[in-house]
Amino acid sequence: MERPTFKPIGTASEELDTPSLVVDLDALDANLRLVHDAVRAAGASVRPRLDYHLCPAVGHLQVAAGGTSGVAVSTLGQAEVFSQHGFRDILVTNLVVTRSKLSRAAALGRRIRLAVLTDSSANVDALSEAAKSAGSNLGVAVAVRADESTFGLTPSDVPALAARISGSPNLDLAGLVGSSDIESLLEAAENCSASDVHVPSVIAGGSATYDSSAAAAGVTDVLAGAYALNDNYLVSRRPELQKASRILATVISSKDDGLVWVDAGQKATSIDTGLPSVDNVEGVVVPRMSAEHGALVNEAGNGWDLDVGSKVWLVPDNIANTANVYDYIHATRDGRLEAVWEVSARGRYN
Amino acid sequence: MTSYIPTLGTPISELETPALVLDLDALDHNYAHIASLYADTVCKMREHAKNVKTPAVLRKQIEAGGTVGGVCAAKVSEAEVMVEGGITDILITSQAVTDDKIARICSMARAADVKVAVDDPRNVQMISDISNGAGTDVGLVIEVNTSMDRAGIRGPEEGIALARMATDLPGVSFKGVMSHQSITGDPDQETRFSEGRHWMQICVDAKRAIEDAGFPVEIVSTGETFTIDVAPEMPEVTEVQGGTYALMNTTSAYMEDFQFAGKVLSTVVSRPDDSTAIGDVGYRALAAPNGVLPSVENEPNITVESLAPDHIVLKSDGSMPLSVGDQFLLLSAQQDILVNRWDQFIGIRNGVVEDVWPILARGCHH
Repeated sequence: MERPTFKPIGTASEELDTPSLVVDLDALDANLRLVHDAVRAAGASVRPRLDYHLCPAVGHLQVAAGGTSGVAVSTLGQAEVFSQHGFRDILVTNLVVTRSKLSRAAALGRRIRLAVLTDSSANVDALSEAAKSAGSNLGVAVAVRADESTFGLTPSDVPALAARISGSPNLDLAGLVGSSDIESLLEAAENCSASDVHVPSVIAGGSATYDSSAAAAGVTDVLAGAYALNDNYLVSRRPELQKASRILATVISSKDDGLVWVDAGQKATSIDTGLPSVDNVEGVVVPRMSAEHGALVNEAGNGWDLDVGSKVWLVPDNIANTANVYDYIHATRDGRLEAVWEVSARGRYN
Repeated sequence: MTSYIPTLGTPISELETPALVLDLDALDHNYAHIASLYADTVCKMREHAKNVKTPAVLRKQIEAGGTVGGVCAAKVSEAEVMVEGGITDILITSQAVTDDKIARICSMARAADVKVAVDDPRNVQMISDISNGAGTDVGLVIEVNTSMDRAGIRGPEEGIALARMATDLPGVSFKGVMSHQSITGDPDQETRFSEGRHWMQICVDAKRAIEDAGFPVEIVSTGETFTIDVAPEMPEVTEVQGGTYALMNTTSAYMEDFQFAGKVLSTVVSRPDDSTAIGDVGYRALAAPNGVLPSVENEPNITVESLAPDHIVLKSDGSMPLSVGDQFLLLSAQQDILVNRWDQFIGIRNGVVEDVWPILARGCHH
């Protein structure tokens, strides 16, 4: 696991060991306030997606910010971890189909309010059977399919499956869950009410559309993840949110004019969706990364003072993917270390 | 971290998915190939720990033979895991430039023969100061830039100056030179050999210049998976920093002597239409850093269409043969990034779990 040199509370941020994932608590607080207040004002609840940071301490701050209706994660294994950290209402935005996972879900359903997604009647029957065997109750939400690349049902098929869940022993219809395409979700909800199927929650996705999703007629919950720690993907779409998470890196080699290499590469940043940007040095970009090294290029051609030992701050492209390669979040305020938190659910893919 | 450790003997069909599985026959084959290739050569393997990150696995190559008896590590904390795993000869292939990390190297040097890559006189001075203060001796290996334009000295004169410092200063010992090369695409044998020789010769030339200036060079550590069979033909190369060969990448499949040993087991969770299946693993667990998608093993008619964070979309020519609940195995395009996202290898032989190894250096970015 990650093995930083741990520094005392109060250490200046730039003196932390590198590469480290650092979260600015004032920026995090501001992001939570902004989004939770906006969603609440629109008459909906936030269901924070904890898989965007995998860290119980951050999750508890999200719940404490108010206006939430439980939390969400993306795998059953993450739900097990967060249940051990005091979260009592968890939606797994995933399908559970194997015998062992059905048993695990049913067992967890005895201890907390757990809901999972489904997209087939055979799966609804299997979930009902598993919950009955365990003597538990499971919430089941219908996944509404947005496009060809995802699982889920098209809106016309949703009412029949929702009704099947409602009529199944040991299952509760938890609602409908959409993804980026809110139109399909709203259509599915209308189809259900036209068929007299009562849907308790209509859960829309997206940090990037938190305000419009919350305001859409019929939406009760907004699934939002990236808004808390933020990343370059969301920064470009919602500039009112602050860059709460950054990676601190150190220049380890400087042999060419206008090019240096830092100690954070693909492994310490996760570049599957895009390269990080540089936050603290104007005109400097990250044109490429190898596994262990990141290149920084002085694109603006200005004089720069980056040399061996210099510290740079990188903003990740996708915070969910970056948090997954760290075991610790170094939480700072006013440029000083305030706490070190475990990323307890990292790597829980199954 | 909570780990999933299945009972030994569990059939692969009963494993929780997704899971990172290690095909032990393939791994043994790859390690035996190195042992035989390097049995009588001057050049030996120094396997790179950045790929498998697991002392128990790296020790299998050392026990199989053909090695220098030690490993490379990309980071200081990764090297610590190797020392704690009982490996006593470590070459750290990245520069350590902060006081903390150098102090950690010095601490390791009390228990093991630890060497670190350098390319800057100020860094050599810093390591000497800290190591001398600690009363330790740290080996220094001069990194030579060849094909990467990354770290490394840009010419032999720089190397001579660093070798002189490393020889004269207290607390450090000059050990040799190292370099890392890359090759892109799907090179044929002739291209592989000509490019490999060309780049490694730059490292050998630096070695000769340093020796001509009066500083004996013990280690010439260069070469990687694509030059595993090229390096032994260069008599001054003493060791190869091979990494990928152990588990293999689809992007290195042209190295036909090696078999795919690292695979991700996944289960189909949805069949949205006749030609599509969705599996329970995505880019978070698989890693697809340069947009190169994984491949489905032994299913030539199934292609990987796309990766979502936690799901994979498979398409088939005609009707999809996989149903909900069916398992499939994925081969990675870049296994070292993949391995860094997992907590354990589940070792499989003859279809059942034979061993489970924690990936102890996973997340060792420091």
